[in-house]
Amino acid sequence: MNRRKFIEQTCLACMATTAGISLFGIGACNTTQVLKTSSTNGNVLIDKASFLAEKEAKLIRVADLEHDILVLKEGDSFSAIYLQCTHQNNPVNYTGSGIVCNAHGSQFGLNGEVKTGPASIPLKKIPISHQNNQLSLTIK
Amino acid sequence: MKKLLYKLFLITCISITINSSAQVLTKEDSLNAGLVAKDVSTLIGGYGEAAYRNDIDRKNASINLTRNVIFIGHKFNNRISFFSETEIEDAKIEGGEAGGEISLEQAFIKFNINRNNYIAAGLFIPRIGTINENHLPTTFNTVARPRLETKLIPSTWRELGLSIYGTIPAISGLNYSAALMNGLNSANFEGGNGIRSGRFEGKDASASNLALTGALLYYVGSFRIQVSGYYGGSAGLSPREADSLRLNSGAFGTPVAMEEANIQFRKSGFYASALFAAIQIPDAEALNIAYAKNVPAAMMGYYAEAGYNLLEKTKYKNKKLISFVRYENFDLNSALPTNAIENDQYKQSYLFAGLAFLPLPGVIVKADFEYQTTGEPNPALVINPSPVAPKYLTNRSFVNLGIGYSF
Repeated sequence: MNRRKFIEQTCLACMATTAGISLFGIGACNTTQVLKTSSTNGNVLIDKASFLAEKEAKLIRVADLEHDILVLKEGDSFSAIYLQCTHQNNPVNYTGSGIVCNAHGSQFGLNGEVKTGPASIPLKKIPISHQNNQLSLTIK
Repeated sequence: MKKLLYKLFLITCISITINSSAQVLTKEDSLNAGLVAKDVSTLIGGYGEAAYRNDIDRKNASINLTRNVIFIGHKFNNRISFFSETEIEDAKIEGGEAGGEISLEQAFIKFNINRNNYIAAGLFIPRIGTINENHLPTTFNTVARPRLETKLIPSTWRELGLSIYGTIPAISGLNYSAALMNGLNSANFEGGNGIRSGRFEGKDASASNLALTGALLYYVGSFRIQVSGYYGGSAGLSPREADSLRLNSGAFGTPVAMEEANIQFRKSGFYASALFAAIQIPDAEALNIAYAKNVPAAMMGYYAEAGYNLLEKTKYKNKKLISFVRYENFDLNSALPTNAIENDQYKQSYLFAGLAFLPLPGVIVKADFEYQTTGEPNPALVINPSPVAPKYLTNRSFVNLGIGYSF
């Protein structure tokens, strides 16, 4: 096999794998909705009605925050975690069953607790209060 | 070649424009101390490890401060940051003495394209294997890094170039990375040492040959799955010099190819992982004519590990006591050109069993028993054998103790 063919086939294989996983992912509805918003007086307001399922996760993208906030709904209770790794402040990724940091491999539970280092401090929890039909996240 | 580069450019563009609603997942990032982004900030971190090794068969032991690394990062603004890692190996560097090294493991500038994608430019570590990117001593159980990921995948492997990282928005947990960097130096390839000595590591690298790497990393449920590939030239010579040595020059002349896949599983205190890697050097015969270093045409290997946190069901939630076992098997000359000499000594397997204790996530104390098996060395490769050399042992046992930290 010559080098051109190798590069072509490897790249096509990667793209095919990505496409295959994408199709599998779409079929499995494996996406997390991102809600873009802004803050007012240090608070972010989210409509509770936007959470449709009994158990649901949303990523809140606030204009003046560098990282997203993960809001989890389970039944009637909500929790919010700031998605910044406590090891070296890299962004972390919500995987559905946990939260991981690709920089150095730290893994966190859905409560933000450290499951695998090198991070040693839990992820920051965002205080949530209920205002009528809205959730208020305090970011400052 | 132009058509190929155009196709690669298209593929890269397609990858980074599929970008809608996924969260950010990047390798290195900003240096916030609070929620609201600060304009400028600097971060310091580090890691290090020390190891004691007892050779049970030879009845001697050694102890060494293996490495101490300082990480310094600086955020210029929300878009641009700088990251560096400076490493000292073996505690002391003294002229004329073997051992000891000061080097930069990483030094790159990160440019955030958006929350989902970023570019790193400078000296960086490509995403190949597990240890190459995640090499902190608190992230692996044995005292030493997995043998396969030092002898086959030459971790930590860093080169100069440009890399891009990001997420595949259609699927939560799927990440990609790709890099263009300088190639290896095949003049330093050697039988039994793989491609390790061919790394430039940022020092006076030849950019006459280039390399491409790519990886997909996927977190799904309790699994972490990665596949990666590498293809790069290694002649590093001008066409005239290469022609005189009968090597192929050019960006991808005298190529080296590597494929790697690994999977990890973690749940309820149980941990398992497996990795496979293979390297091909198609022009090994030409390299042996040029440099006579017994370069193989191919190398391959795998390892599998399983462990359990004995404190999982106890009240000590912040601590871990991991009992583990790992088996590694690799062949540094799995295929040979006609002008290479096979050496069974390069067919190696390792069995590790031990304990790793983490009183907290940033500190680790390790103890493992290592059983090493190799084939017999080929006497044809032993030049001027010493009359007082001890008999080569194909089976050897070691006890290793180590400490490590990261912050």
